[in-house]
Amino acid sequence: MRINCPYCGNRDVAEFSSMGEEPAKRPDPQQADAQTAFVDYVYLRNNPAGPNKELWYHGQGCRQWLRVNRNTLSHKILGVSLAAGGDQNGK
Amino acid sequence: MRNLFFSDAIGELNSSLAHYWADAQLAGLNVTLLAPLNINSVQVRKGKADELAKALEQHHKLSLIDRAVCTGKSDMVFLGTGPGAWLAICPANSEQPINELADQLDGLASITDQSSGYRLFRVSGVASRSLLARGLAVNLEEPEFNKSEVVVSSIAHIGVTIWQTDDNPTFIIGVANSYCESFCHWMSGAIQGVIQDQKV
Amino acid sequence: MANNSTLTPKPAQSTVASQPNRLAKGGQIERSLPLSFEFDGQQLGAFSGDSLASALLANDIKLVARSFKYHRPRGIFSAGSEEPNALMTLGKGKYREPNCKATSVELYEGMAARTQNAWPSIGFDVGALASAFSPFLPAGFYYKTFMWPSAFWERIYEPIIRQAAGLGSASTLPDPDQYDVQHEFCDLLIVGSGPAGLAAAIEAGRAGLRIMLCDEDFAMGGRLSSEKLHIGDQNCAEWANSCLAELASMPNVRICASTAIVGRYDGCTYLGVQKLSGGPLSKAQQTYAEKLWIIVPAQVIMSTGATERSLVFGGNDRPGIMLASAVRTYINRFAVAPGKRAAIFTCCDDGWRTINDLKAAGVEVVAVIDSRETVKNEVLALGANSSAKVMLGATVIGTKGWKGLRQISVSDQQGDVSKFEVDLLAVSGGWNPNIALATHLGGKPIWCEEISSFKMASDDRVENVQIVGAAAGQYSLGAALNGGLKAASLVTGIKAKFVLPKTDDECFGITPLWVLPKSVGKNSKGQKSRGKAFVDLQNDVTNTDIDLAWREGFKNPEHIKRYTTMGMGTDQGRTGTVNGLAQIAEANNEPMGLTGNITGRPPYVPVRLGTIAGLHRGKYFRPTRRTSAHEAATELDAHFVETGEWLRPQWYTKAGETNWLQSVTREAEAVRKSVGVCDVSTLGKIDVQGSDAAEFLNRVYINNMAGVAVNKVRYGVMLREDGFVMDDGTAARFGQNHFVISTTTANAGKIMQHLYYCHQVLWPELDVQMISVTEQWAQYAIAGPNSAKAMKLLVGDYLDLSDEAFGFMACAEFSLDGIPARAFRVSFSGERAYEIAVPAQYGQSIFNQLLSLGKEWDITPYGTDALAVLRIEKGHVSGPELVGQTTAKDLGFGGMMSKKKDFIGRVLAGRAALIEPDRPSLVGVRPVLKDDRFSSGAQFLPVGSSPVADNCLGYISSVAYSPHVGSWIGLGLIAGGSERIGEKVRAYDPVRNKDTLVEIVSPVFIDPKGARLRA
Repeated sequence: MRINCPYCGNRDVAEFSSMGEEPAKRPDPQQADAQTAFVDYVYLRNNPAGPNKELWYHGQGCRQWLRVNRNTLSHKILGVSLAAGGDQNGK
Repeated sequence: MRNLFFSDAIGELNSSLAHYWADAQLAGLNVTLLAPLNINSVQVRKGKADELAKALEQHHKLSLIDRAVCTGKSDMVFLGTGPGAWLAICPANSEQPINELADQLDGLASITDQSSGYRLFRVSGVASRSLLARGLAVNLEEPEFNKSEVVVSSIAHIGVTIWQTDDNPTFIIGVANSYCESFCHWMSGAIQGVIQDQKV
Repeated sequence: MANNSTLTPKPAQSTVASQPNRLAKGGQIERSLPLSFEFDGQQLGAFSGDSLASALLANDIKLVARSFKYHRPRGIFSAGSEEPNALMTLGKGKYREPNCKATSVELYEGMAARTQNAWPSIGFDVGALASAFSPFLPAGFYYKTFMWPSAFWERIYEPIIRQAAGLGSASTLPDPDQYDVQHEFCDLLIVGSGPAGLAAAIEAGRAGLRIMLCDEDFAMGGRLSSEKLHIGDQNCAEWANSCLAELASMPNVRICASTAIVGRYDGCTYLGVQKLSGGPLSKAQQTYAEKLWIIVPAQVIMSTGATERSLVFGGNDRPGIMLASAVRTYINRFAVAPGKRAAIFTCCDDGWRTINDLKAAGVEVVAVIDSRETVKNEVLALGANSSAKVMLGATVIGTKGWKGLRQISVSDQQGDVSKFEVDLLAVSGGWNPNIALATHLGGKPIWCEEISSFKMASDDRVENVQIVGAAAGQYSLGAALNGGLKAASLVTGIKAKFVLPKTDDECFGITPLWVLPKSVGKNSKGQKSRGKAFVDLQNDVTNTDIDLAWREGFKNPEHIKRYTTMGMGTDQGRTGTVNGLAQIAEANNEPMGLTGNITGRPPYVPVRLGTIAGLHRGKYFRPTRRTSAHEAATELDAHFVETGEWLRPQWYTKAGETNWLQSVTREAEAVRKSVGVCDVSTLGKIDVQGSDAAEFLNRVYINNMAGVAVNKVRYGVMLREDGFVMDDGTAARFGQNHFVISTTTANAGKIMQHLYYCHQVLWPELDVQMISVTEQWAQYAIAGPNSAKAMKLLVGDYLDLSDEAFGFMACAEFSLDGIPARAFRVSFSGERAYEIAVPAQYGQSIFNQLLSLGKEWDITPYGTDALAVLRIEKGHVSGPELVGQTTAKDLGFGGMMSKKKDFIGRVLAGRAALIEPDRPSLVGVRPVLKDDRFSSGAQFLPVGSSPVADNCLGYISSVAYSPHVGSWIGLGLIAGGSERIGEKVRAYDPVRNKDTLVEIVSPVFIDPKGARLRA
């Protein structure tokens, strides 16, 4: 499997590690039902059969976390972007 | 760039690791372990990208590029290793160049000394790409590979940073210090592979 | 495999005359390079260019194997990797390799081949008695037998079955061969060098594309070397050779013979396995036996050809029964006549081409049996010059000849049976496009009535892949050539320039003869087909087996495959499975298209595990990391332990010491008494800078890091988001915006990844820059009452080490005689201690300096085991307590958790189950009887309770012999924690057969007030 890292280019999957499906935004720890929200955040995933928004870490490359939209049935990668976006260096 | 990596004083002769590439000549390859250079990690601070570029232009006449490429001149090279992150390499001398860069770029970038973090190997010869192909899952052939590209990847489960310095072709391979011996073990096997290929 | 033998060819023995079936002329063999080889002890002759199979046939050796289950005599069936029968063992001792297909093996000088699965000999095999029991051994018999008595299974049935099962026997010695690997990123990968592949290669090669042309055979050219067809005015084999010569001259073309493309993977990645050899005569010692190719091509042309399939009739497995195309291959490519009197049994036009080839080889063709009632005139014409009896609408219904075919029985259209005396029967049941590679990623083939086989749908264009020629069901030579050319032109993007000469356009009509009552049942006159009719030759699966499986309720081909083992052998059923599928379709009363095909998966042919492992075997399975002082430690007789990839000194053996406990105890005592030095370079070190560095650290540690003063160090704990402890370490602050944090050795990579996640994914708005500096700094701990003295000798001139300037938990950056250095006053051991960090290139020399400077205080190098003794005595948690199932509260850090800020893991750490008071929490443990010893993992049970999980109170996590206490001690987790101090419980360890009475004590066994730290 190969992933098109936005910084490094097309690379073998061995350079990456997968965190799996990206959870929704990290809940506000101050909110009333924080514990329930965090349980969902940490443990529950949609696990779709089809396009899946995943987080991958390019550990043996640019060490960037990537958002990878990957189809879990066909294994086709539909899009890759830097998780940190273009914000990282203030551009 | 050529001067920085080809100075005669730079090769470490009598390295205890040299036996791993004893057969390099048979493969038409030249392998040298470079003596330690001055290497710093430079990571831009948030919102300071433009100022950083200006400062480097001003102090070192260096055009900073935020991509996986190698830019620089004969006495300082910047390798893009990630967004907003570079390795700055310059000749080693007895002063503290890290303080110099840190002073020049104070507030614009975070500087970290990495001079002992990497060992650099220099490999040249017609079979260089064939050698690297025995471990690197990245295409170094032209025209797909642009000569100024920097490749941060892995060979035999060991992280490497590779860039090309001339058309020989010559490649510099940066390997984390602690992995040196394991990397050399891979290299000696790859050299044998090149030799066997050439026999056919 | 490497064999040591001389380079000079053996003369005299290997002449045409000594090989009874060798034709005097023709073939693609090198008659000027004779070879000799050994087969079951017999010395035989052959030629360079032979396969082992052709060499055996040349020497009139027909009986080459015994079948898997019934031990029936078998012969060579095919001329390729689809071979089900002729499996041989090659090589001896550690080089022994079983189950080699004689048809795929390139013969080399001095090869020693042996038959398998037969005892005492291939000619007389006791195993054949199994045949007599065959009614009791149908497919799946082992699911129904060997049930009773159940005790017999392990002691009697299993050993016998294990002995009888399998084919060849592997060597149990380590593989002496070595394997190369290479990545290739070509513009075009062409799989298969037959007419389609060669045409494509020429066109794309001339256009300058970077091409890799592969063929699993050791000779390129595919079926062009096996047929007598014409391309232009050239014999097709000649044409192939001239193409190959041109391709060999192109620097942009890599020609890879003996290279099977065994799998297709996501990301357009293909795996090729190349058998490396210096050639049949070269016995020069080769380093590598095989090479693994990892190919990422921009485009692929699959010109993988097609495989001929068998026919199912009674007795269809005897030696001498062969695929018709194989007969032609042996004659045309290898100049071998596979028999003396032949018949042809076919249901398709293609089989008829065998007549003239046999005739040209001097083999008498006595009959041509075609199951179709009408056959095109142009096909009939192929038999015009032969005296063979032509029988249409006829089928073979039985054969005779135990060790080799001698007679066939044929039922004609009327049902009358005639017999023919033959020693060779060429069968052709049709052709199957070789589409396995195209289906490896789940693509489903469709049934094509026209060719009576499965192929890929033409509008199901697999990514960047074009399937051409016979692999696309385009069987004629002209179609293959044009198909390859067209595909290449699509790749180059320019109109094809290669002009193809005129070719023969052969007929490929077929009316399949499936395993229907027509073929194996009674004929119209009540004559019955006799003998076992095999669908899968390698696994001995007959049509009655498939019928039985169907009757037992297995209707789906995938189920029948697994129940009968049809198609599961090393040939993957390539010559028989489609026949089986037809039988299933007929039983299900469905068309073939609905029944479908069985999913194929990589690898396409068997691959050595060694080839895939390559360099990564034994201790090279993964890389090893060494610290700067590794050599110095080696010289001090360090015994190393693997911590992840790192080698760390576990203890140092002093002269006279005979076991590890001696050394470890000595080292621990030395630290407590005077001073020791330990290499702690392997711990993770992360440089954290930026205007938000302090804020960032506050969000990942449970305690307040932002409040740490410059030049101070603070111990910290990080949680996972689920509230469990992830790692512990220290944060040293060197500047307002500059921290260096430490992690445990094992978690360095994981923490780095976690911190990047927190920054890049959770809080990209923070201005923080991080990088690992584990490699940059060598670091040594100097611990013990005399540590200050040793430290002063080393750095005293450069750093003020007074308690006022450098108190407990201080840190500083300084220049150590020109080199950048960092000093820390921290302690893991509980003694006064320092750590000194220098750039790794100076590490070893600093380590040696310390040892030399510290001589007057007997400075002792100590390893991880002594480090463990010291930290356990001091009640410091480490890896065995940070197992991912313990919380900060469990480990006694509950109070460290800040209530004033959010941090990773805070919310879920507050879950009821994680704060309930009865959770096992950290305590110390020592034996009630002083000399008793226990091990970590022992479970705490109340005295007098029964050893069941419900009674379990906790467990012992770390254990050491404590010189300070004078007994074995441990740290553990027990329900109720410190409230049980003074209680006696059992440390129950059934794994090591121990049950020890222990006392729960404070986890701090030495200096609970910390006086030594600040001394």
